Amino acid sequence: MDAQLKKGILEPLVLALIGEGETYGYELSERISAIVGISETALYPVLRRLEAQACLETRSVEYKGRLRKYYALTAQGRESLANQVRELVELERVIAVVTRGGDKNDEGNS
Amino acid sequence: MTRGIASFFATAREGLARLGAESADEALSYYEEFAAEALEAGKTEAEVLERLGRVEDVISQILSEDSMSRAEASPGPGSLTRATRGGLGRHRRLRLIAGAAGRAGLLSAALPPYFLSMAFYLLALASLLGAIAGVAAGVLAYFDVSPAFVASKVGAVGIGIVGLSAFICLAASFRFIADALARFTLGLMRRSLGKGSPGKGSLGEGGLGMAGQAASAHKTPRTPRRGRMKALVAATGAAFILGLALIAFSGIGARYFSIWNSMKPAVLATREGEWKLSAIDSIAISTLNSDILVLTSSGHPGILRAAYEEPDWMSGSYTLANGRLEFREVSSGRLPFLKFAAAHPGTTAIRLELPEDWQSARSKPEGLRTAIFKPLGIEALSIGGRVDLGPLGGKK
Repeated sequence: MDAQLKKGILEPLVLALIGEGETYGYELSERISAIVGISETALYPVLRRLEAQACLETRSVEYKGRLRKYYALTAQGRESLANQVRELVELERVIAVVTRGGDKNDEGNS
Repeated sequence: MTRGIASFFATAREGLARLGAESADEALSYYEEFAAEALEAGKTEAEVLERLGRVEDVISQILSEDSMSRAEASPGPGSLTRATRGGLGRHRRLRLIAGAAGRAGLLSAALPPYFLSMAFYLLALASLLGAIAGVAAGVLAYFDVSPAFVASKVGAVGIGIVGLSAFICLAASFRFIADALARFTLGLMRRSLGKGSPGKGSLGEGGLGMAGQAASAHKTPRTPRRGRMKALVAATGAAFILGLALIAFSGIGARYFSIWNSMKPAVLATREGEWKLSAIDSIAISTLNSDILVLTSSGHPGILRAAYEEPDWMSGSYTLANGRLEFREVSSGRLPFLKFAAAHPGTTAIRLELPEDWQSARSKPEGLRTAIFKPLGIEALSIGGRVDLGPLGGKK
């Protein structure tokens, strides 16, 4: 996937995955990495920004002698996710048109 | 934690030393948690280090983010310059990366608003100096005016208040514009730096892309800034109106205008009066810049003649009450920076012709001005005007 597309999809993806249930950084990055193959550490600035925008709330829990930071979605985060989903649905229509064009080209070449 | 990863974070902490230990720990805590979790999950040290990327890029990202956040939270010429320098420093590294030409262009686009912002910061500084000059003008005018002229002193206070409030308001406005331009500049820089690739690999590539997104997390809310600006404009506006009211009340503004427009009066009017000396115990002369008191020999039978020469924009009055002849210069408008006008011979001249046995008693010099008195043939000098006291029948 193109880097810019990955970048664009990262924020709603983070919101959506955290929206499924409270999670911590490593677990989240593993899940995202499996989906879009993004660098795990690239996730950090996104989490910081969403936290600062009050889209996420955090709590630290002691785990094996160290602190593990858990992230959960706030009402504002859910609202932000809903807005971004609407935009992605619009994008989906564009993608459908682009994909159809690509299929036709493939048929013409074969 | 393995030796390689520990070394990674030790190097990162050294690189982030200027942020302070607490801020560095906070910035690195996510990465350390990630490394610890990854090792627990069975990743090798090499895999973890690969995911963390180059330590120089982690340091660069955190420092640049810190300088930008500081500049956004507290815009100013210093913080903006540091942030711009940090951005350009990162940009120099970016140029080595293929495909960074577009980013370079966007970053270059941030330079014109940066210089414009700095120009407005300079204007704000110049306005602050103007405010100091305004206050100085008021203070000088205040002390230049004789204590006898209370209204003019009030007017001088008004000048100081108007100068201070107007220039402070101007400085705040320039600062407001400069801050807005600074935020715009930072926004452009973030936009340019925010187009980094978030693909697999080092944080240097992925992190740069995210840095731009992280930017907005640190944006300072604009409402309080605008609120402060409104409060400042309201306060300086009220002070300005108060100062204008004081100037209007004192009439010093109108006199300033008159003096400015009649540096050398074309016509000198002469007023003369004669009094019986037996009715006068003392003569008090009040001009803008000096108070002069002449004591008479009580019961002297002669006649005192006094002449007051005035330009067309000035006036004075003689009054005789309780044995005291008082001359008072009614229009007292001279501002310190218009001394050259007032120093023109004949601008203000009072001539008293005195009997030989009269004695001058005392003078009240103002500030650095000197009033010179002699028992007879007296000459009293004041900066703003000239008071001549001569022997009876004599003309200087």
